[in-house]
Amino acid sequence: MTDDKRSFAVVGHSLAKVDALALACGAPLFTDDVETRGALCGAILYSPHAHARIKRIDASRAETMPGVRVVLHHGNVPRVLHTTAGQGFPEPSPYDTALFDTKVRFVGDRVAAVAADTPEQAAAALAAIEVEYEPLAAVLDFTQADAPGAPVIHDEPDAHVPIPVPYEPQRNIAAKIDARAGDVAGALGRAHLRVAGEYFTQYAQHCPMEPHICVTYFDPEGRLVIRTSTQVPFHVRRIVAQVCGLPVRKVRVIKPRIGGGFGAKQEVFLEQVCAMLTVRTGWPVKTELSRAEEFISSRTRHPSRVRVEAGFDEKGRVQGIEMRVRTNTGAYGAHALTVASNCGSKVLPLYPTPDVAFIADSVYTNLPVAGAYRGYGATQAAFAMECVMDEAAHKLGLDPVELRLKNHIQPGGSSPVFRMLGEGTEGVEQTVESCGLARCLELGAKAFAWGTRDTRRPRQGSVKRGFGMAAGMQGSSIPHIDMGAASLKLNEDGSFNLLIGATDLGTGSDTVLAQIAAEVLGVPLDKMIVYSSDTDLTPFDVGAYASSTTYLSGSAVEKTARDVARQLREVAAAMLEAPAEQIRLEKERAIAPNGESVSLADIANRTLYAHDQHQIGAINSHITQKSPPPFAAHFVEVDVDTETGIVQCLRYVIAIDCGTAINPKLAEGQCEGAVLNAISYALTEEYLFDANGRMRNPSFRDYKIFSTADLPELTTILVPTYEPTGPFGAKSVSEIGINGALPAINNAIFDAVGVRLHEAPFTPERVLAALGERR
Amino acid sequence: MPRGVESFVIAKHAADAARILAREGGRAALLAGGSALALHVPGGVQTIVDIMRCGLEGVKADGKRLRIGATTVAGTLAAAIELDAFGAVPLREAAAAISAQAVRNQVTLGGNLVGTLSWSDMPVALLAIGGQVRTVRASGAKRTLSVAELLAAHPRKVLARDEIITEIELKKPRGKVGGAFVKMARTVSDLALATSAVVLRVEGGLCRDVRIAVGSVQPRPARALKAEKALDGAPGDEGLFAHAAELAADAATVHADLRASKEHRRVLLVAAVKRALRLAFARASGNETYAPIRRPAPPPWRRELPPGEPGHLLRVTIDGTPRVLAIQPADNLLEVLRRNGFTSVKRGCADGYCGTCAIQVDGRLLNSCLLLAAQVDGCELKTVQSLGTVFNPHPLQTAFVETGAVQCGFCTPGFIIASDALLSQIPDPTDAELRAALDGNLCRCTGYVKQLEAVKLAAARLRSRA
Repeated sequence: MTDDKRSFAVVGHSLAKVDALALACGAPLFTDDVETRGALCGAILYSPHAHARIKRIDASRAETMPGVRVVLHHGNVPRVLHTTAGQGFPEPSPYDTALFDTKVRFVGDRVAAVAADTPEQAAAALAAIEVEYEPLAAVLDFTQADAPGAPVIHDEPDAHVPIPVPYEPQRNIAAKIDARAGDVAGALGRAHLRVAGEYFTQYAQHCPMEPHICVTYFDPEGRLVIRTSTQVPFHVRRIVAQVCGLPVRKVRVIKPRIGGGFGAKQEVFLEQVCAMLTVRTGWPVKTELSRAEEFISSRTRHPSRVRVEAGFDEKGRVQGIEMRVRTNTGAYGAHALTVASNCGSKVLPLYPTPDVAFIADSVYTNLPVAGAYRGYGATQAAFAMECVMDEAAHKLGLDPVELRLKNHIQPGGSSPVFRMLGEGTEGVEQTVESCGLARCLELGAKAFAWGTRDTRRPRQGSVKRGFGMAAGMQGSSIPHIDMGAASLKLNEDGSFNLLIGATDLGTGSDTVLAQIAAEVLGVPLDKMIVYSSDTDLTPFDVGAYASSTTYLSGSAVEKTARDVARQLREVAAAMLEAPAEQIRLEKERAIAPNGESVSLADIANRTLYAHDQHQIGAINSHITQKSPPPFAAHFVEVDVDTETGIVQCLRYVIAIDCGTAINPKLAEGQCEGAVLNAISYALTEEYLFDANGRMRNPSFRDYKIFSTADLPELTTILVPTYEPTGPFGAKSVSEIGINGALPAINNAIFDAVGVRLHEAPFTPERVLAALGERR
Repeated sequence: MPRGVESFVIAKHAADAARILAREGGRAALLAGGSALALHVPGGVQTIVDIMRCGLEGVKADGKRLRIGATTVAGTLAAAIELDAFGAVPLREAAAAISAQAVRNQVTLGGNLVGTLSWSDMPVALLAIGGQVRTVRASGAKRTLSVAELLAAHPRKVLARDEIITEIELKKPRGKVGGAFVKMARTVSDLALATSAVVLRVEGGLCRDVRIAVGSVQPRPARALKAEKALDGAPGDEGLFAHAAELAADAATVHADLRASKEHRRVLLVAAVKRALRLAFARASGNETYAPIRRPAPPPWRRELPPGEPGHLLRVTIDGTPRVLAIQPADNLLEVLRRNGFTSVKRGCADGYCGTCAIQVDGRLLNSCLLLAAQVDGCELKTVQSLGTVFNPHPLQTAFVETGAVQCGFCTPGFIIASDALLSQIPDPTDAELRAALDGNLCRCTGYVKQLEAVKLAAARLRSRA
């Protein structure tokens, strides 16, 4: 079904994002833009120690200070172990986190929280809380976290996993996976060529422009309302209810516009603190993170060590792959298992082989907490895999593009990895139906002029030009686990209210989902009034993660719209005296085979006011059976300054198969954002720690993310395919773009100067060190 | 909001400000730009004295001399072609190398000199160019000292407590000089890890009057005298430049910081000196023309004083409507705007590095988080809401919508107000000019491609409309 270009009226068109104009006009749409009268200021006291026991905490002085309404700490809040991962229930992450604990496990761990009338009073109260710590030896090197005699970070007896998965906190092991198919050792032993490489990735932060923020208050009936910048409003409701001891029915979560998330806002760690401050005081409370808190105490990308060994026959065909992964989950285990398993499940199936092994673990350390971050393990593992592929191409004398073409998964193909690796459970067997990777490689190479790259190596003294590429895949939703739902009702002017649980965090999913509904109903986009993510008003959805919204929630919207379309046809059939199944919905009209038609407004007026009065509407939901991978090819051109070690990214082409792009411009925007984030991550972004585990660069001054001044020439090519299981042929697009820059740039550096780096980011110092080792 | 600050004085003359400094001693802090004070008022400070309206802004050339007012901002200098004839190209390049557009529009030459930090860019350039610094004291006494004298120790120690820099004077060089400033950093907008500024003449193919300054590797910039001497009368030879660069690095006391090791900074310093020499030589010998991109020069800072004492009431026009807002003398402008309902101005980092709080003050693009509210008393403030509404949007807003430049939308108000400031100065920016002028507006969603496309589209529409 590759290259299937179907024509649609609304889908496949780059229509303006439904919320864009209001945002461009600066309308008050974000959590902090609406004042909650009388709101107290919530503030959090953080641990200065990487690992310590709290021997004594005395808040009595703070509690009596002016304006201070409450001080919370482990001594006055019930201990409810939970996970902040913000996943479906029961979560595949350990319950190892309390609102406040008797122990602190990283610099930035929560010790206490305060609500006061003003930020200054809250800050003064935090400073007045007396805490006596007993410092403990800390685990700061994740490669040594499970060494005999290492300090045990989660020595509390009640930490546990809510589903039956391996968990060995006494050895600092938060998750463990061992999945094998066939005979890898045998396959590698027989291979013509074996290539192995070990690659390290670093701590990084999502850096949404809007830091985490949350407002909580009781409504007049005494229900707790949470207005919060989240990707997972329904999980927030459940987790806050769990931690605060409230029935779910007493909690309402409202998601306004979100200033970016990228996975950071899947994590539910702030809402329960803010909620508890409201529960204890009865007052509205606003708690917002500063940029420094965002770096130190929110969530990060799992640092990793990924070792890949792959075998190849004489012709360059893959003969067995073994991948060994260790990730550093930091002080708590949110997403430890699933990010680790995604290292395998979103990378290994790209090059199917019957002989494949994936051995991974995720360890606790006394460092910042890792969590979901766009790419979700695939970023880390693709770095190793695609560098190994590049090295293999080099050793086999093959063009790197050709090596991918020889080996990548084909339509109708499968991989044992799909079955081996799930999200805390076994995986789901699947065959790939749509795959445009060959075309991505072809079109990307063409746009990049890959074939003639050797003619473009200017001699500029110490500066060497290099060209590199990488391929990749992701998934679309978590099959058999994720669920999304939508409801739709007709208004008397022929417009519709589309209510979706899905969470638009700036990605444009409100628009994409409305386009799907409008396409089914034969109306223009502006007839869709979209409202998303309010646990009182919209149906359930797991939220915005796992590249699921377009594919999963989009299918729920499509189903719902088809249900409404059927109802419209039935009424129109009576009005037009024609068989319902022969009526077309087009241009806001229901049209009979003889050309006679009624408008949707006519249908609405009839059903609301005149005959057989009823509300036309539907609610429906969807759960996926598959997680069809989108595919991408990345090409990059760099200059490596051999004198300073500075790597400059000059040009980047990404060609991507996301099935049908429901809104091509928004799909391009997803790619461009992901690619630039990835380049910035590959070249500069990293947490710098002191010897005691304290992050030294928690600001945009010292943690640099790319600006317009650093932007390379960036080209996105959408390569249409048609995914038969997705809404109008769509697959996911949001995450995949972030996985290519690490390997592609490293491969380009190798192409330029003949050295391969094994640790990201590729800072000038690391480049010079690598060059020095070669000399 | 530091509690200790009781009054905010907007001085009319530098000498008035000096008198307050003399009277108050350590209880008074001078505001020349204000970004440092907006982030942190030193303990014990009760009075802030703002000299932005003392008439110390601007670049004036009169034949033999070029006078730069002390409160002239980097953004003005980066765009000031008058500097070229005075051998001050390194100063233009250094000014352009500072952080981001809104910051360049705020950092003053005098403030950058007096508050010199290891990574400050403009002092390095000035040290290479050489110039005279004029000051005034409470008594009215004036003095002139060289840039080298000012930077011999930390300028705060060189200057008397009540001594205020009023202007920097450059003399026209004899003959044709070439100059260059080279900055090494992790990203274009990052603080420098190593810098070098070079000024030299070429006579018969030989280097003359070579002046080399190095910066960022140690607390204050320094001349590289040995390296200069080694090059005097030498041909423009790569090997000699490399040798001189080594001498310059040997003479510097290179410090490590969290961003780079000592060893690596030395490597960067050597490269910076070498490249600055190469570039300056090529320019002096006419083999290379200095042809910078156009940069938006900010409109001048308002001179009129607001009636009465500032610091408690903020009398401003916001988006066309006059307002009187209650403030404290050390209130941050971003906080004042947000708490008074101007929520299109976002808080993304609150330390001047993300641009989500950008506004225009009398047409000048600034980060509101780096301003004290009292500083803008009497000014016209413009947020994105002044441009258009959902019923009647501005072409920039429409273009952002049409091109898909709005994703989460949190950076969009700052981005659009920055774009508006740019287009008011340069209606037809090139790609490079756009990237340089919008470098202070961080966005994590888009990869900037669509925003740049949007601004180009809006610019074209605005031009055809005009």
